Amino acid sequence: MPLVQSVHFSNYRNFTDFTMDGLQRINLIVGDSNVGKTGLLEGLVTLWGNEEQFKALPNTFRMSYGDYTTSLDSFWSWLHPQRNHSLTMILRSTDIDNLMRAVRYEDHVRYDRDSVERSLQKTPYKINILPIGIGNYEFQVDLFNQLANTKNGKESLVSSLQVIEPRLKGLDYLKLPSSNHAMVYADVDLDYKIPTTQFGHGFTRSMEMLSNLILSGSDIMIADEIENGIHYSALGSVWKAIIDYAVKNDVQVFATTHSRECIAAAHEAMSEQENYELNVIRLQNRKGEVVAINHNKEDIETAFDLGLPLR
Amino acid sequence: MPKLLEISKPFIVLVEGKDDAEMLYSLTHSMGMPKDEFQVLQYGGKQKFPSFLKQITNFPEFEMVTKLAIFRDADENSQSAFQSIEHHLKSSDLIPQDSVPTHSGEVKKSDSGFAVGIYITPDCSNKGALETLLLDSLTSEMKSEIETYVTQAEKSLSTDRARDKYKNSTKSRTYAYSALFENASFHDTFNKRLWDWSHPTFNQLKTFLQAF
Repeated sequence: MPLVQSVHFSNYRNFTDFTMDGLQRINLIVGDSNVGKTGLLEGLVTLWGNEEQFKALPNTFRMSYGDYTTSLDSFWSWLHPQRNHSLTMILRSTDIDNLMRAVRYEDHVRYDRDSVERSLQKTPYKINILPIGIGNYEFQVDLFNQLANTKNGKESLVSSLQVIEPRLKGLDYLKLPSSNHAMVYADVDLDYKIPTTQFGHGFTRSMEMLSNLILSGSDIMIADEIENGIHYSALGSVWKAIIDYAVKNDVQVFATTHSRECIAAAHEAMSEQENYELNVIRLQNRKGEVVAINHNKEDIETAFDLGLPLR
Repeated sequence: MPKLLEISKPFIVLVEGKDDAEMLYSLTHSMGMPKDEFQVLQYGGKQKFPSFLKQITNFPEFEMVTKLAIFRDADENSQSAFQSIEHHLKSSDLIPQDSVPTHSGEVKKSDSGFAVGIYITPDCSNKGALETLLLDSLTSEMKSEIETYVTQAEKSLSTDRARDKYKNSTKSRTYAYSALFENASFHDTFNKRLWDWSHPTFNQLKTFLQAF
């Protein structure tokens, strides 16, 4: 069962009275441009993120500038609907144990978060925000080395990647005589090791995402436009790896996408699991209110069979 | 990527599949109803209807819809087929509840002006399907000839596989009628106007469509 069961926002951005329930292990958020997909993720970070993640919000998903202080007006004021600070903004979620977590936000400050969590005697959720536009090799190497420095981190990564590359036996950061700089090499049971740069895009992107997840030890992964930078042919491998890791490690995923191929790949990968735990959530403006419309397995299959837009 | 479905008209007609859609276009043409007055959407069979209805009613464009006609085959029981559709309409919070018909063949208008009609083929009361209705429109001589062909030809099937696949069904009979016209598959019979839409058996269906 996924951790978070439902989310409610009131007086947050254009979400005046918004409920998202029936949440699943993997929640793919879709909808027309500017409906509030990124705003929804920012709300989740405001609700669950640590102080560092919260304060970094202006530059996490948006083209913004400055830091927490300089962006008070350009970002934080807009968290209020139409910048109306007189309305009390409440963000809350209910989890599998029926425990509620909530924050109140007024004039750029989050209130209640710590007190609510202390009173529940539960640790805060740990969330991992997947960086957008990644694909930088130095960054991947850095992640890998950080992971290799943790207990069982590397083993966990190898085991997760075996879902998409069953021949994989190990990964190592090596400076081989044949190269003038150190690289991450994969052992695929040959007489020689292969640099990961020689693998397909699905493998390297999965490696990057999984390294992030494993390092953070998160309960929840949040990603905006998850398909960004992934060739459509690699989407299947990436989802297979993410879903397998999420199921085995009890991680919940909230990701936005604009891509029908991305939904199809997630659906296909999830269909291989014992339990189908994918929800495609369409955000839609209905009479001035943003509403969430859930799509289960049957809905997704009907949409693909009959050419219905999931948007 | 194939074009995705969009709602483009305020009058939408939901049908199970392609044959039903072609039949409606042909019938309404004979009635003088312009094709651009309504939009026919195929929901892919009764199993997919609940999900299809949920998804299209959630389209932003559904707000412009004021008329909704739903066709479904009775199969073994016309009343159960009607109740199934009625149940899904009543479960939707996007369909005005005072527009949900109480019986098959009825077109009911809500106070807000939203009209819904459910038509269970062949005739809103008997078991069967679209093909049952079509066969009823043929002359008794033609029906008898088709019956003879479909039943007698079985005796001449030469392999076990063919005998296993043999179906003595209403569909087989309509296909046998289609085979009389060279280059006409079943759905072509509608384009080529090979059915007599003036036959009284179609009156109930015409009355239903005119009630919108």
